Order: sequence, then structure tokens, then C-alpha cells
Amino acid sequence: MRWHLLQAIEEIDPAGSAVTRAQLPAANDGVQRELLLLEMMAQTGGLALGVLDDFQSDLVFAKVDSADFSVSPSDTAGLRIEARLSEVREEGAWLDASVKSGSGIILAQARFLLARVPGLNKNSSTPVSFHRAFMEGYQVRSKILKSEKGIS
Amino acid sequence: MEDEIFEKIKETLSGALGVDKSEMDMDSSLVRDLGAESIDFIDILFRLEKTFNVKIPSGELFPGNILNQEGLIKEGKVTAEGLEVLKQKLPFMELDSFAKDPSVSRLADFFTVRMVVSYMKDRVTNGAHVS
Repeated sequence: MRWHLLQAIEEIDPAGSAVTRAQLPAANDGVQRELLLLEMMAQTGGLALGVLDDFQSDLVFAKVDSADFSVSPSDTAGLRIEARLSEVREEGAWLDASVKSGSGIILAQARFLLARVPGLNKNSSTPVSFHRAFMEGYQVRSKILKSEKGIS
Repeated sequence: MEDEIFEKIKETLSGALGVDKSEMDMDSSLVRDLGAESIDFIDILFRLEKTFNVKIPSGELFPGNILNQEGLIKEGKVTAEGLEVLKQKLPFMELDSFAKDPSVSRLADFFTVRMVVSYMKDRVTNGAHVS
């Protein structure tokens, strides 16, 4: 995953959600803007799901049930990405996510499936999805909200 | 009752796999005939739970890594011991014809619509549980 697509993690709620900030690159190297927005939502969703097992599993962006995009935003900075778990199993979760512009306009919404997969990195017990550089660089654990709640 | 479950499962599989219901019958293999990939099995579980309003324990309908124990596979074929493990872990799979040529590569073909129907029927009526 290109975690650096996200600029910062705002919060990770163990009750089943995460919020991040991002900015659409000015030049997308030919990558469609919609794909980048979808990837941002998937990465944010990965945090919401990953926190449930302390980021020990690798996650795969498995399916997209629906995805809607608005017209091109004029303000591509300060994007707010929210992702929430809607259905969870040991094997993965369905999530609902959105991207809002800095002024609060919804730019994208999607419902997608993230799958947990056994260690992708056969040479290490560290998950590929949540490697050390990402966990430390984004100060992931410090963004986890203290919560008594939990999802079933 | 089986017909009703069959209809619901066809609906479920159609949603998960994008295959028309008319292309499915009880003997359709989820992988070979309906094009399911490993990721799809997770989606199918979510959809079955919602459709039938039941909780399906992880690894009960579609267990993973059941033949990774030593002695269960030899030269690409499931051994007699392996077949016993399959019978135990996959009681709803029709293993008799698989046992005639127990090549590991054929196993995925036996995850059929009938197997899912049998599981759900048992689940709905008895609350199936597999050790």
C-alpha cells in the first residue's frame, strides 16, 4: 500500500472507524483521480479494521460494492477521509467511507470489502500492510482513541 | 424447504459472483463453474449471514488450510487420512466422487451449490456445528 497517499491520521476509534487527512497530488502520473480517492478510503478503512487485532493481519482491498464520485473538486487540499466498519467477520469487513473536501463537500463515497489474509511476508511476522515504518512514521498507536466501547 | 433455501442461495451467489441465477444448479462448482475466487468466499459468508439471519462461525463452511498437516497429502493427492479429515471438517461436501481421484487440484471443484444448500439447511433447522 502507498500509505504516503495519506498526509495524517486524525483518529482511530476501536469501536469501528477512522479519520485521516490527505491531499490529491497535483500531477497524478496518469492515475485517475477516482482511483486515488478510492485508495485513500481503503487505507483509512484499513486503519479502522486493523486496530481490531492490533494491526497484526495483512489486509487486501477485496471488492467494491459501490463507489460514487462528484465533479472534480476545486480544493484538493485538506481532504477528510472517514471510514466506518459496517459488517465484520474474522476474515474481513465491509466498510462505508467518504472523502470530503476542505470545505466539507462530499467528493466520494464508497462501500468496499477488506479481507484479512495470513501473513503476506513469508520472511517476517510483521504484516506488510502495517510495517514498522508506517506505524512509526504516522504515529499510528497514538491516534487510537481510548474507548470502552467495542464492536461485536 | 430445500427449494426455498436453494432459491435464496442462488440469489446470494448471484450477488456475490455476478452470475445469473439461471446459470446455477445444485451441482455447480463455485470455483470451476461460477468463477469464485478466494476473496469471494468471504463475501458469500457475509451475504449468507444476512440472507438467513444466522451467524456462520469462521472456518465452518469454508475452512482454510485443512490439509497443511503432515501426512494428509502425498504426491499431489489427498491420503486416506486426509480424506478422513475432509469428512470431518467438510461434512456437507460430497466427497465420494472426489475420493475416486483425490487430486488436491480437484478439491475446489467440490465446493458446490449443493454443499452450501446442505449446510444452510442444517444450519437453519438444527444450528449446525462442526468441530
